[in-house]
Formats: sequence, structure tokens, C-alpha cells
Amino acid sequence: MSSARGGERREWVVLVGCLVTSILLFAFGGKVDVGWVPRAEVALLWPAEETRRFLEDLASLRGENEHLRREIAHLEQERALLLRAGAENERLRRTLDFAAPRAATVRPARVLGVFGEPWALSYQISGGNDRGFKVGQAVVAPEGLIGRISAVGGDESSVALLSDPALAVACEVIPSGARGTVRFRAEERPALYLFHVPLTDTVRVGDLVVTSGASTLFPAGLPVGFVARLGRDPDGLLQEIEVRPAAPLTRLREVFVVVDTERLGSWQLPPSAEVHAGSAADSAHADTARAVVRASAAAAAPPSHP
Amino acid sequence: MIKNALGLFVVWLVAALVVRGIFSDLLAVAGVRPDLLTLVLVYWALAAGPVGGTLGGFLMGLIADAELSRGLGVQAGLFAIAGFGIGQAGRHLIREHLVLQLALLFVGTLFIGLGRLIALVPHDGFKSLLFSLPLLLGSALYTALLGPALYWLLRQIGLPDLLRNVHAEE
Repeated sequence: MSSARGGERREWVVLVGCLVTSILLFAFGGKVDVGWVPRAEVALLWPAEETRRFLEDLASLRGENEHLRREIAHLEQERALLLRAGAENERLRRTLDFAAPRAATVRPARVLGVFGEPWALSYQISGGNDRGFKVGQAVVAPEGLIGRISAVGGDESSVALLSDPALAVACEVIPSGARGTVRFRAEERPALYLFHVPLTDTVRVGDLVVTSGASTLFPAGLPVGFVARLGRDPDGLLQEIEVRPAAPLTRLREVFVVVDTERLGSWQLPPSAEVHAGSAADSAHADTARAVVRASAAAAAPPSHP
Repeated sequence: MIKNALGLFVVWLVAALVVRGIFSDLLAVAGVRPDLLTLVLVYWALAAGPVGGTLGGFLMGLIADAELSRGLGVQAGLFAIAGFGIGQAGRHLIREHLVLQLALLFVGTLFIGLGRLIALVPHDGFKSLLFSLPLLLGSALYTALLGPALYWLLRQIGLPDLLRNVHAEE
């Protein structure tokens, strides 16, 4: 009992002692330097604080990383769009270079679709009766002939491409002047061929093949392709010349319809536009061809206009 | 035994200071923060009894005063009184009871907070006290809920029941 009382007394003594000390500290504590306590606390907290900062940085880095990833993806998309726009710009520039010097009336049209399996046989292009397109009109690209209009609708038209075996074009080889018919042959080695060229005519690989004046459908001098390979027909009596098309038939986005084919005399090669040439030899022959065509055009009488 | 109890007190105190200093913002709910020093004091006083509670409270109050760098002795006295009272309550009541803990935490936080407000916060009369009262009540409630939750959690993860096993005065 007495020990319990002693214990209680001790408790009260401790409390009173603490309170007295508190009051004394309150009264005279202004002179006591306790600045070391917060400093010690800061020192104590420093490792934990650093850890917290590190974790926060890590979390923010993760967020920043995610943000940068999204930004990169966005920039990649933008870059792809710019590259596409650049390519389109280049293509349209070439198209303008081509279209500007034309004496003939050409109307641009957008390629809406490419049809044909396993190779492209026809295009669906924008424009039809509404733009004065008619069946039979030549369809060209800056590089050369593509085909002719095979059907006309109200605001769309079909174009039979050179790769359509049903389309035959009277052509001649520049500079030798050898004449023949260009037609797509689907058998054996599917490609454009220049048929009916006598063995006596001199033709070299890389020579330019253009539409000839004998054509009733196309203006003369329109580039069709380049001689890619020489051969003979199965009978061995005539040459059978493989022709690489001048225009990339499957990759075009815009084409031109020559709406006054009948008014056109010799087709002039574009002065600055690149005639599609896959090699230096092709390019040299193309230059020769341009010179020849220019000379022949100069000599020719101006076309009669109805 | 006393050595162990003192060691435990130091660990609790350091833990409270670290958590309060580092994760104070994380613990804040609608601007209300728990009073972690009071929380430690309540559990310490329940475990150690009136003498341990008084001395522990006095020490904690001194630290709080030093942090505030003014009114040295005010919080020391408040914490000491709170520690004594809680120690007495723990002696006569079932200290493991969560409701008792909740009540002591609420009252303890309110007592220390009010004392701190009246003695230390410069105010223009009764108005500032009324203005601070909702925040103080929120803090008391938060501390009261956090304490038993922590106590329960620490027991769930396998730590010994400190209120049963630690008796500094025995």
C-alpha cells in the first residue's frame, strides 16, 4: 500500500518537476540556445529526405519519359506527313514543269483507283463528261504516254493503260526511226513489246520509243518507253523488242488528259522534265531523242486547226 | 527492461519525426494533418505509465518548442500533462481497447492543440481560435483514427503488442 502511494507520489513529483522546468524554461528560456535541435532534426531527416526526392525524381522522370515518347511518336507522324508532302510537292513541281510548255490542251485528273490483276490494266480517274473527256483521248504523265480513255462517266473516267493487252500503239524508235506496234503481251514474259520491227532496222538497248505519226489515236513523238531487251519473234523474221514504260504506270497520282489530240501535231518532249530514264545510257538516248524530235517538229508544218 | 522501453521510445520518436518531416504532404487530407507526436505520446504513455508518459511528453514537448523556436517550455508542459493523464488512464482502463485509444488520441490531440493555439499562436481574441478550431478538430479526428489503424496494422504484420509487453515502470 505504502509502495503504491510512494509510486503515486513519485508520479506527481515527476509531473510537477516537469511543469516547473517548463515554466522556468518559458520564463528564462530566451537565453537558452535550442537551435541545434532543428539542425539535428534536419541531419536526421536528410537520408530520408534524399530518398524521397530520389523517388519523386524517378516518378517525374518516368512521366517525363512517357511524355517524350509521346512527343517522339507525334514528331515521327509529323515527319512522315512532311516527307509525304515533300514528295507530293516534288511530283507536282514536275507536273507543272511538264504542263506549262504544252501547246496542246491538257487537263489534269486525279487517279482514283488502279485496277487489274496481276498487273495494272486500268485507272479510274476524276473527271468525265463534266470536263470534256471523251473515249479515245490520250492520257499522259510528265514521263510519257500512259494509255487512253476507254469509258467516260459523268464525273469519272476509265483509262486503259499501256499494260492492257487490248491496247496497241503505233510507235517508232528514236533515233533509228524503226517503226512497229507497242502492245502488252501477257504470255511467257509479261511486258510491253514493240512488234513488227524488221530485222534490218537497227535498234539498241536504251533507245527511246515514241508514238509515231502513223498513229491515229495518239499525237506523234509522245514518249512510250525505252528499249529494254532485244529479241526475235518465234518465226525469227521480225524483231521482238521489250520496252520499259517511260511512265511508272502503277505509281502515278495525277495524270493529264489530252483533250485536243486531233489538233496536236508532233508531241514536244518536256524541256526540263526528266524523261524517265533508268540509266545513263537511257538518259543519253533521251537527249538524242529530244534533239531529233525538236528538229522534226521544227520541220513539220503547223497543224491545221478546225 | 527500462533500457528496452527507452530504446523503443527513441525509435517511435524518430519514426514520428521522419514521417512528419518527409511524408507530411502525403498524409494531409483536405489540408488536415495528423499530430504524429501526440500519437506517439499517447501510445508511449499507455505503454509506459504516468512517469514514462510525463517524461516522454516533456521531452517531446521540448523538441516541439525548439522547432518553433519560441515559447520554450509551453509545449513541454502541455505534453507532460497529456503524458501524465494518458498514463493514468492506461493504468486504470483496458489500454489495448481500440475505443480507448481512439478517445485518448482525440482528447490528447485536442488538448495539446488547444493549448498550443492559446499559448503560442498570435490571435486577435476569440475569433482566431474559432477559425482554427475546425482544423484542430479535423486533426484530432484524423489522429484518433490513424492511431488504432496503425496499432492494428503493426500487430497484423507480426510486430509484438507493445501495450501488453512493454511496461517501463515494472
